[in-house]
Amino acid sequence: MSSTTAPPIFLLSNELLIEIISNLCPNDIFACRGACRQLNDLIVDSQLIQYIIRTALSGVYDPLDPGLSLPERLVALERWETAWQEVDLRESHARIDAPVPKGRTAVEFSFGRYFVVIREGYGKSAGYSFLDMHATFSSDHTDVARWTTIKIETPNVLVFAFASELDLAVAISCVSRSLAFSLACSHIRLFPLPRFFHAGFCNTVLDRLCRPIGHPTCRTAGEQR
Amino acid sequence: MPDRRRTTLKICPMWFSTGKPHPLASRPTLDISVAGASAYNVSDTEVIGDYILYWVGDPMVTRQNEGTLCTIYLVAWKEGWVKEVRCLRRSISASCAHGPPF
Repeated sequence: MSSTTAPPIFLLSNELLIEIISNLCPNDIFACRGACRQLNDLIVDSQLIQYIIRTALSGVYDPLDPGLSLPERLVALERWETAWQEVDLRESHARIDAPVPKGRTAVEFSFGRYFVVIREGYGKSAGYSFLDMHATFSSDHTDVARWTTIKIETPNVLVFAFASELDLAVAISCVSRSLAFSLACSHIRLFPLPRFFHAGFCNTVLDRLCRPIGHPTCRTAGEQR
Repeated sequence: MPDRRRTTLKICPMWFSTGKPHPLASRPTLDISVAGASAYNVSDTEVIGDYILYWVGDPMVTRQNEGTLCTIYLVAWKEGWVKEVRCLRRSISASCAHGPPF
């Protein structure tokens, strides 16, 4: 004996069902389509769910933050898809011809749009140089990348830290007499990494020989050139 | 009379692209007074939003205890204060990765 009563899930409104289904992954959405004709129609007719499926197929994740309507999102997605279909890669790779600035114990890493080389160390000139990848490629006349160098006058920079979202560079340097002198006296590096140091104290002759180290002053990129 | 058992470190928040003092920092430099030979040790730093985390590791660095952790300093670079948030008499093992400083 068959029952004509609709399953409890269909007691929910269509809007609520769409909201629920929109939180499923594409595979589960397709599974829902196969469950019954009513769910299938709901999914096929829903612009939101169709948009979610399309973004998933395109490999795009849209957190659906407020600010854009669904038609606007669809237009943006279509533009994105078209741009990828029409992309013309004439060369398989890009080349930047930029000799790395000379410096002792350089550490290289990428930092947002920048490629950075830092120089740390006791008793030596510290600072960092960076290559702006965006500027390099957008420039009209330069085919050779230009490094920007920031020098820090304080010789004993222990470590740098950077935060791209704040355009922030942090230098931590040693300014006390004892450290500067004793490291200059007995600097033993245990690892090839520049920030791993180990040294002993030389406190007895310290105050006589070591000069105080002032505040770091920085020069701008323009002054370096 | 300065305490010879302490070492002073200076923190300079700068504009990355120019090297000038960062406009959001309330002070151009901040001082940390670290214990004894701490600054000789394994140390690293990381920016976490409004704060800078600076940690100093074990003085006897070996490959076995490369990740040990002794003291952590919390630096509010925008507000302009420094706090020693953790100080242990002996080092402990910690999952402290020494990656690039960003």
